[in-house]
Amino acid sequence: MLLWTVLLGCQEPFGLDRHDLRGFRIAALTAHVEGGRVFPRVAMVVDGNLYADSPVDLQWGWVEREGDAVTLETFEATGPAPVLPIRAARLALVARYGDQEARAELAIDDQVAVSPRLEMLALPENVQDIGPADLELENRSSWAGDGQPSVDPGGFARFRVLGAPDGARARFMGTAGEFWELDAFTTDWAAGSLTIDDEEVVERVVLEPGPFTILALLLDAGSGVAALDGFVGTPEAGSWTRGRFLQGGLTAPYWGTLVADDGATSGIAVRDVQYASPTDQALWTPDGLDCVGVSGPFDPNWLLDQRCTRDVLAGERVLVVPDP
Amino acid sequence: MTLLALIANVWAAEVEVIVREHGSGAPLDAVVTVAGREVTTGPDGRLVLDLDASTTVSIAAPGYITTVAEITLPTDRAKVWLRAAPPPMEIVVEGRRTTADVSRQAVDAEVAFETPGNREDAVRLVQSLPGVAVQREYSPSAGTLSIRGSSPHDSRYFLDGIEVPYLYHFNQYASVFPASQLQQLELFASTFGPAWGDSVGAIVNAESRRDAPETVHGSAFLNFVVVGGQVRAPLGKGWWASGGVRRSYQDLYGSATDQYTLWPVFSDTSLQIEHGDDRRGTGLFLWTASDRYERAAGELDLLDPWETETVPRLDFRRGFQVGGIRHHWRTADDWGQAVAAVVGDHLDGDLTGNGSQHTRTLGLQTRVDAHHRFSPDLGWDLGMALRTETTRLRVEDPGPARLLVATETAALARGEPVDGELGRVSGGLYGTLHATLGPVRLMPGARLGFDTLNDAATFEPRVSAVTSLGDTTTLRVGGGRYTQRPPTEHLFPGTGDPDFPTTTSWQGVVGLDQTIAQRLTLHVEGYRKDVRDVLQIQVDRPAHVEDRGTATGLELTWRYRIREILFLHGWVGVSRSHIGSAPGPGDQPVNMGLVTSWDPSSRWNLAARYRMGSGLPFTPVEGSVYEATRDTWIPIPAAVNSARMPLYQKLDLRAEYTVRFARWSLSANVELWYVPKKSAQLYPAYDFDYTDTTWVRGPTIFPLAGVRARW
Repeated sequence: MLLWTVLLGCQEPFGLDRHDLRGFRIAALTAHVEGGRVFPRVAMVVDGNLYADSPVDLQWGWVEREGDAVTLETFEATGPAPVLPIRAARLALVARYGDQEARAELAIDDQVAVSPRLEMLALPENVQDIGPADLELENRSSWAGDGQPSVDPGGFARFRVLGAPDGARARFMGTAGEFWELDAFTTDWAAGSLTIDDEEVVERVVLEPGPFTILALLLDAGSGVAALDGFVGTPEAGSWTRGRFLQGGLTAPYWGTLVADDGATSGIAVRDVQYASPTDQALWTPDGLDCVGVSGPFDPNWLLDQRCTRDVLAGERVLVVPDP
Repeated sequence: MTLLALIANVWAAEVEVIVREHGSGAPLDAVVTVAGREVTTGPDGRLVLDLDASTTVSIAAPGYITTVAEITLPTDRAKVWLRAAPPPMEIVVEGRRTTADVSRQAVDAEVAFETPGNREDAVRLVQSLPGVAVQREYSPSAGTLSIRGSSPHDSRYFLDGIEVPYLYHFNQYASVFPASQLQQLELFASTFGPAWGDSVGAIVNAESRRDAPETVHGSAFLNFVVVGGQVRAPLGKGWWASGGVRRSYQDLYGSATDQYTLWPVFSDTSLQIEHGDDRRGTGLFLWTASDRYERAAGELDLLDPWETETVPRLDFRRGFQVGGIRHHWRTADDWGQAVAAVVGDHLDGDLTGNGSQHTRTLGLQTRVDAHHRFSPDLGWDLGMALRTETTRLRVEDPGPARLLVATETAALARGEPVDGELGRVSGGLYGTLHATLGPVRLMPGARLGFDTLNDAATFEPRVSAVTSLGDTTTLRVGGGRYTQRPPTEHLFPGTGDPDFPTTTSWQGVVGLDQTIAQRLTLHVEGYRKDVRDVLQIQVDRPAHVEDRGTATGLELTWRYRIREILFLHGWVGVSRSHIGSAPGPGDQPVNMGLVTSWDPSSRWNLAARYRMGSGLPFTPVEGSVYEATRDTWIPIPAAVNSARMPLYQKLDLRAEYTVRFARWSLSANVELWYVPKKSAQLYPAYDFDYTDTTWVRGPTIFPLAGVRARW
């Protein structure tokens, strides 16, 4: 680490970093604490998808010291939406899917659940045109964008977390692209990548057209996750619900039949849509779904937090309320 | 030969002849022969000749080339510089003086300066001695001394009997005292005599120069990291002074980076004022060392742009000051030294927004070593060491980023706020009898130690014996008990455990010296160490104690040396060491080295060094836990030392050219270090969630250059 190594050491870069929603990974673990009980939620990436076809085995327990989750064998609850009485300092989660396993911990002190939202602004810059100096923080601060759900291949977008409490900070992840954070709640994102070596751009890569998802995790003064789907290139026909795009969706509350869609970042699309009446909206509940802990109109993020799997949703007819 | 041609004159005159040493300018006692008549210079190298015509004189002095000079009148003064005669072809049979330390190796200045790969640093040469694990250059452990299987904290480092808090700047680049100030460096790899205690590893003891300078000498040097100089000068009436200073300078011309906002800078100074010479003297000394840098707590290459602006920064400062008084004496039958020094040591780490660690130690170390020989067959060594110190440890507001600075501020990384002070008094009395019984020199002895942070006094019996097996063969054996208390920082409640037990060790060694054709010395030595209650200090987990550790090894060493012309050293070692069921941190099954230096002429020096060591063990990361509170991953280490670095090899080549002027000389050197590509791995690096691994690599070829002026 010191003198010689700083001067002379070098290493090959890794293919992935923490922004990449790939493989089998616990992307976020949040919780709300109330009345001596904790209500945790997890955001899972399964085989590179923000959904799973079959349930991920989620087991919950308690540990006292950091890192002890690695040896945890006694669990108090299972499933994606447990309610646990607080028994120790740290909540531990073991997630298994086939032969894959991931473990996580969360310190349970002053956890306040918040419901942040993500805003997307398309920027005029493109990875084909800019250099390292343009990416300096103060230069990017002057970039201005407008609210659009898509960017050109190689284009930049800005994502901002709305509804975050003071003192919080956000961490961003995505299914594609490259991040250039701007401040505690804002990141610039490129639909492509730049490889910079010694202040020179040595490679420019442009993303192919298609959907992507940005995930924001709130830390420190609040605990919450927001997801937002966008497009590189022209958006498909459909609508957004809770930040997630449903191909075939309408722009007002509607009934639709869920179908598996491997091309969608949420894993599903809607077919046979028809507008819903105010009465439908008032009466419908998801009780008929084989999901865990869900309520209200259909939310595609139920797949992200594993409360529903794609297999049980496929073919179900649900009420969907699109984002305004 | 030197020929002086002076302007002719027909008148008679008194001419002052001044004879001085070429290079240093020191006055010489010389004999000047004029027309068959011999005249001797005074102590100031001067004489006056009464000449009535131009003439030729011959000037001779022991150890110098006789010079003929022509003095041409008119003139009133003639200066003559005599060059030192070439040294005789002195073959040095590096026999071992008979001490109670069976495993003793010594390095002198010639070897230190002419061995490539050390940057003229004698202490770094310790890493090229048998029994010392070969470390990877440029790596964070480059300065780690793991000797005969011991952990680095098992060994102790002394300068004139006073323990210095640390040996290398940044544990890497250079030792904290320059070679030019040292007379000798000794390594006691294991099984040392009763004079040394509170160590189950090895002892490194440096001795500062005690020979009084007759005139002002000095040197200045510059290489690509450090600039420095030293001077030795007589002060009159038996007093003399010596001092040196070194400083890294890359910080001075804007080398700061986003990662290192204050580029690593180190310096050290030494000052010695002494009355007397190497036979008897009393002096005051002062040594200081200082290391500082400020770095981002985290690898900026792995962080987002905004995070790089907000990541905590560690302001790290480390240093010590040692000031004291020393008296030494040496006669045919008695020799020894008494020394007392105040030692201040500090370590400060301020991690913005994530806490700080401040460690201050202030102590008084005293030591007396006395040796007396009643006859060639009987004598004793007696001595004592007493150390009084107080350590203040303050750890405040440790935040989550503390884990990123565990290598520098270990107490902060443990995350427990501490504000405490521990006083500690420790020491020991020792005695060794030297008795010759027939062909055997027997040296039984013992050390009685105490430590106020210990539960009981320690008794450490030790014995060694030497016997000649013919004119050219010597057998040495030794063994004994050794103990060591944990470092004070690990005895603090909160960051340590006051109940950590004392580590104890039984050690034994057998060695055989063989001289071949009065030129080549061979030495083979086998050792065994059995350690109980082994303290394990690791950066990634709290210190803990393992029940047992062992180290076993065999070393073959050979030396051939013609002083000032050639030396050739080599060694091969095989060893195994374990702590608990795992390999020890210095477990290097095979290592070897070869060092040679040759002066083909008075101007050139050519040298080479080759080192090879099997890969040292390390603890890899086998998985991680996602820490959702901070959105980071906690590495999960695999079994301790369950993986090994690849085989390491390094070849260092050096050439130096010296130009000598009348009063000074200038040397320029170039070095080329070569590490094969397969050996260039420095340490493993892991991706964000520890699921992917790669190696941080160092360069395979690295050139260096430096200049040194001596006068």
